[in-house]
Amino acid sequence: MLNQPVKRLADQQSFVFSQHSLQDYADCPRRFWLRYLEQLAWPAPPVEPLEEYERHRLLGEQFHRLAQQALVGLDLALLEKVAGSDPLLYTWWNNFVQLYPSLNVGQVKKVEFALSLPIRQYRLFARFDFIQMKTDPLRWIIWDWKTGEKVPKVIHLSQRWQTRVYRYVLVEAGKNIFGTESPRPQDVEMIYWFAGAPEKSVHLPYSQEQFEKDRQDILQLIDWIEQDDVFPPTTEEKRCRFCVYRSLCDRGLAGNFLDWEEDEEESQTLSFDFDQVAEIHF
Amino acid sequence: MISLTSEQTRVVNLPLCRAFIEGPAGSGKTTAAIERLNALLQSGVPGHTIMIMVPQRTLGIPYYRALHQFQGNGSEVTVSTFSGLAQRMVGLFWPLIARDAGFAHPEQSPTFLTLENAQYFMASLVRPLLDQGFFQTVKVERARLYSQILDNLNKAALAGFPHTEIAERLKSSWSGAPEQLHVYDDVQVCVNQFREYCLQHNLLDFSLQIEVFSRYLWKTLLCREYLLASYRHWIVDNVEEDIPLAHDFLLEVLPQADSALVIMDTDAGFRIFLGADPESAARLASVCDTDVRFEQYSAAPQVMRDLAIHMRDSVERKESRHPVVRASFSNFREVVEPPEKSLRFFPQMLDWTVEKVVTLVNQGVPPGEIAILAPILSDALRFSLADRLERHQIPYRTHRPSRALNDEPAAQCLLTLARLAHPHWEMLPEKQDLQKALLLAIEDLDWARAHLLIEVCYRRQNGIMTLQPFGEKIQMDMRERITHRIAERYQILFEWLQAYAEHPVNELDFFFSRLFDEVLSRPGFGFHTRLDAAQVTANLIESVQKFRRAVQHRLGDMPLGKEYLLLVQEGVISALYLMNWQPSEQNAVFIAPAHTFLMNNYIVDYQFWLDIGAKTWYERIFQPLTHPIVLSRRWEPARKWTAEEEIKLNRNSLYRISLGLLRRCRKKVFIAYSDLNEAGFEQRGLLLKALFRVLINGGRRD
Repeated sequence: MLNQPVKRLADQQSFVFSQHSLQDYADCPRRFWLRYLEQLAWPAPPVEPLEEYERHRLLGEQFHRLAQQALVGLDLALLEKVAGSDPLLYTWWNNFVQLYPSLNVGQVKKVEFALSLPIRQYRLFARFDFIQMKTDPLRWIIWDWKTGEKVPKVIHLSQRWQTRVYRYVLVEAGKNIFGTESPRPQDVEMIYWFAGAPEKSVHLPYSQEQFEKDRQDILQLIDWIEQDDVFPPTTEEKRCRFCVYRSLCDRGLAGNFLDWEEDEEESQTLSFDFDQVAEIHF
Repeated sequence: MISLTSEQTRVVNLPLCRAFIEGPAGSGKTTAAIERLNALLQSGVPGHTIMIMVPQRTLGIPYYRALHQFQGNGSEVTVSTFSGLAQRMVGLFWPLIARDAGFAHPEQSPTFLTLENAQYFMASLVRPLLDQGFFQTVKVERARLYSQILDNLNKAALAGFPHTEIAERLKSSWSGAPEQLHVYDDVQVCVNQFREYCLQHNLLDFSLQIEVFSRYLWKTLLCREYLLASYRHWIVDNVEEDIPLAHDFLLEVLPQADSALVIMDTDAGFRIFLGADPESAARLASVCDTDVRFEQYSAAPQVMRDLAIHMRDSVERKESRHPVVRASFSNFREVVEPPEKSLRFFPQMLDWTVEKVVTLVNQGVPPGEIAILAPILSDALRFSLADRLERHQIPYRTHRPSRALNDEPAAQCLLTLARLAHPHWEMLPEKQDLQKALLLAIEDLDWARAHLLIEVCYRRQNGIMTLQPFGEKIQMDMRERITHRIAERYQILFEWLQAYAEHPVNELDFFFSRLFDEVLSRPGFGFHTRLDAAQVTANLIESVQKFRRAVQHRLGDMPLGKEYLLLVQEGVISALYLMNWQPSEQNAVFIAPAHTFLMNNYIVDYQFWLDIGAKTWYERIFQPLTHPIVLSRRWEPARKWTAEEEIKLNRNSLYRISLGLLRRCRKKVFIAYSDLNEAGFEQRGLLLKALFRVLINGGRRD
């Protein structure tokens, strides 16, 4: 099974694409196949030291939760006490509080909001940290909170599938959701906001031209995935340091946390909030 | 495009209103609700304003599939259980209510406890009390003792009465020997201590999640406005299987919604032991402005439905007074098939069952149209059936909610290596355990070589068993027998463990993850090609991780990893839900406990009812510390629970389950029984008697 891919995309009637899966295919077709088509659990450390990674990831989750709580209307003073449990979290929170007045305005404010659309016989899905629509001038802003240690280069972020998928999905799926005021590409902007370095936040405006290109490129990539029956591993082996399947492909050991670029955990895709509370068994 | 009945069409085309849909299982209610969901989405209702509430996750699967196939753009529809919604809201609005709800550290995040972690804390609190003489007269395993105490808390929360009333309610209904009353007092002490501990340490077990949501959070303006504004359209399915608190919540929410479909199965309520309350569910009709009864269509044929009516009267022993039947001349033997001859032993019954399955499949019946149902599906029974089906190359799937950790060879291997890597825990493995672990860990190692390897490399040194390198001291003939390749692999594992011993970590999950990554999943090691082992490792790591994060404020100072292993040994962490829910291979024979089948809401052409002489088809399990009915909202405090009540409950359970199964069968039920059951005892339970009464007296063609 491991040397000869058996599951193909065409066999997956209800496959849901996301920024994660498209990025995985772009980085390493083998990783895409293992993770999404075979759904193979491979519990290796993403990076080392695991202790650092876990601490940072949990703090990142806590920060996302605090931002969500603030944006649904909880008292900031109440949240400050929660943020005070860790110095790094408290720094991020204080930076967020500076930003908060500019977030708390606008006709549309959607927190932890998911949109999806049909693409070929599949769906394309995106979950946004925060979508804000402001008038005078009309702007649709996609906010994405980043809590990683590294601040990536602008060129790198603009080419990430996250940027391309998020802006495209907001415009395309937003038509049905936001009615007459639905977002046009030229009104859309994506902001990567770095909790530890807000001054380095990256603003990525959108355009009709880029929207058309994104659509073409997403369809092109899906075509390639559909036709792929090899799913070769990447030739850039340095990527394998941050891939959990590295031992399956026999490609080295885990990379260092300090060299790692934050990649949020893939959230539950599309429409099914399977509760984490187990049913009680008597 | 599926064709709809007029009842279904009416539901799909209803204007925005609140409708109460009622009808028997298999009459097409959920299909109608799915089409209604599609109609809502197509009409422009945003997905994020729709909430689909189901009492159990599996009942959301049809909606999940429909949403995947939806062809429009849109936002996310939420499919949730009431408890899932409660947990999500408590997590989101925690800082708002933590202080009022009595938590000692409202400024810190809450910890939601899994069932296992709740059992761990309960065990930690109860153990010292056992030493003081608590529960002296109770003869149950400790793990079950802890879980029954927790059940009491859950039941109080689900019914909506204070946990401080548990003992009083149990005592006031007790009509047996007075010694039992002390047991209930002991239960109350444990329950109170546990709740107090949770409040002190921000721990939320299932009961506290429900209580915090219902008593505190739902009363806050912010949460109320958030939920009411977020979800304007509600589809609530199988409402008869949900709990009274969920119904209370819906009674407040639905009148303020733009639209609602409330769907109720008649004659159901299979989860009554889990707090389901069909009578309470019926209250929801009062907040709906349209009623639709589904009566036209049934997936089961008329003869099957007549059989169900006969079964009810036979179970209640009414057949002589009330000759029911509209189709009394139909031949029930066309739809019920017993073995042609008496079968003495349990394995013969299994052989007969599988022979019949093989015949059906050879006749062209898709395996997915066959369900093999047992009152309880033990591992042994599951294996016996699976093995027989495999021999005939018939695909099957099982759906037990949990597997015990100790049953998984990969988990055993990892736990054994953990004991070896932490000698200071003083839990070093026995030779045979290590041999089994190495067999799995090292590729191409066989029993004989594993035995030799253990003999030369796992030896007593300074009084304790110690793993040794595969060094020069080992004699040449032994080296040749073990082979160089195996020795090399062993040495890699040995050196990894040695290096680890110099810098051990407190996090057992990190140990497993690194061992997996750096050794076991590498070429030449057993987990490299065993993908099931990787899955088990992932689940084990998740379990340890949840445990570690939940027990930061635990009692005692034992190393956390050691404590986890002891809990596994003790059976407290016994069912780790290793089998994740996944929509699996559909065209396969479904092997399941009957209740699981019912709560999956499948309809099949052929059902096999195994071991119909067993009382477990209708009797509740022995629970000396709790009581599902007495601790329900419907039970009047101080009313005595008598033997007559128990018999009535059993008959009612049997009637509901047989009716539920027959309504989900299109063609035939094969009834399988043997003179002796799995344990070698004779059983002649109510189901066997009732069925034969019907077959002999009620269904013969004149």
